[in-house]
Amino acid sequence: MRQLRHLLIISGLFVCSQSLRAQEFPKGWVLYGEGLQGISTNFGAAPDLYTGSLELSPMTTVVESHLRLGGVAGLLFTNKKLDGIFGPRLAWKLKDFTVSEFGSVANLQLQLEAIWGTSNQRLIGGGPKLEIAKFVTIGITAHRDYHLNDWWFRLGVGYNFLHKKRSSTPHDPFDPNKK
Amino acid sequence: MSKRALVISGGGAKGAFAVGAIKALAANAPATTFDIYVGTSTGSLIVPFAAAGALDLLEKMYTTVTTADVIQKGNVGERILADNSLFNADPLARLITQNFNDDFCNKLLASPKEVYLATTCLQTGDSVYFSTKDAPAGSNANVIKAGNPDTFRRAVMASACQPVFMPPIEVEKGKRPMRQYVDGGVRAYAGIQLAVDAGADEIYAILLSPSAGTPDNEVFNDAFTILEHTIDIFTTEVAVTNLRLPMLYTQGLRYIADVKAGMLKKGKTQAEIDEFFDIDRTNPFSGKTPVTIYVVRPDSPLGGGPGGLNFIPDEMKGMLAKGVNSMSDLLAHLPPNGSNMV
Repeated sequence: MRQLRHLLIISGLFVCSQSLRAQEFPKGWVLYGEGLQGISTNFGAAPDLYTGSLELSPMTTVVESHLRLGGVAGLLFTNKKLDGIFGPRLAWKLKDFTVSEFGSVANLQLQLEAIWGTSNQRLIGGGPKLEIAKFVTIGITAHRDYHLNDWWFRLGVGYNFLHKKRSSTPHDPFDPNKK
Repeated sequence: MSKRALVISGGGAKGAFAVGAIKALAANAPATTFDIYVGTSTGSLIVPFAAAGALDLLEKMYTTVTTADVIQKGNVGERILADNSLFNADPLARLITQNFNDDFCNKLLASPKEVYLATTCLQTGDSVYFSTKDAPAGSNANVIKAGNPDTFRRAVMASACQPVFMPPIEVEKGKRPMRQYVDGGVRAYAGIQLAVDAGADEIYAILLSPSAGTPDNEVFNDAFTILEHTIDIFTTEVAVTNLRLPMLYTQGLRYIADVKAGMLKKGKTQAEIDEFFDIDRTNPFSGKTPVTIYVVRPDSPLGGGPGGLNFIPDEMKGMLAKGVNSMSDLLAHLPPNGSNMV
């Protein structure tokens, strides 16, 4: 019982210290709309295929300053066909980029996901992504289609629909109803 | 009637130096009490407590508060896109709300002591003092009476909010047209002139930066460091120009007093002397008496990071000790009559 209490106190201190420090990956949701383009290849005789997709990815921070979990769903164009895709996604923050003592400006994260497509695609993979101002992302991904025996390489940009927007009235630090 | 004023400049965490100086004054010269208190920025957080005699609370605040108790840093890009300051100052608002409760504010507002908090209005660009009292008679200063605890708390906050780093504050909530206020240090580093206007003839001015900049040999090769340094240079310039006028005014009064004394000594009558000096009533010093200004300031930069926004308790304890030493030194060498314009 005593050990459990100590564990709770230590956990509380950890969460508390994280809440003071989290400039990137704060608690809350992000909703990125992403456009990706690239190729799928089996490194064989078959020609490489163009792939393009539009995806929507809601994610929430589960470990402040470190980890987001969520999903991805979207439309994929490849092999002259339009397919639906969906799957789970996680993002692990690797590094903060800060400006002097003013705070952070961006973070580098590693994104991992499993994607299922409506034409039997079964992809697993991910890649590094740069998230700037909690507003836009740019990243590259590599996925292995373990069902169709293909590799996918793509470059993508994203826009966070839930990014903080400027209010018409200035923020009042004394307002008890402020967000 | 003789009045004594305490004036404290801006400086963020460096306010610990002022707290140390006040503590030493209270310990070594308990009879030295003040009628007028003028604060700028961190000085505005200090002077209400000094007026209330809450020195222990001040010492506790300025040796335990951390940066996270004052500001919350975030994503700079996001804040530039969506907010009106680089840092979120909600923690400071909470700190002010906790410490300046209604009871404390109402007692201060009812007290005969005059407390002035320096702010700068963003809409008009004017230097505006929020006060527990009405504007001093004959003063050109823009003084607004903070008639209730909420306005007083907001004025303290506004005075402390360095523009760009911290948000502007609507002090008179709901008043139209809306006026937003920021750190008084933008226009007035230390409100010595206001203390003179309010009738002080003896002023203790606690300034939180040394008189001369110390050259450093740092090579500047990134824009943000240059920005920080440039803000420091601007702040120093405001400090120098802001002090020059009241100092010159005091020197002028002393010079006239000396000339008049010399003329009396040479056999002129008081009526003749008055006739010489009151030429068509254009003498700007008419009816004014010399002001004694005691300046207490550190010998070298105190630290505290850019804008004094790094609140590090151990560092602040060192600043407080320097403040104690500087005030003790001043009191030990206090001239019998005359200003100490360091």
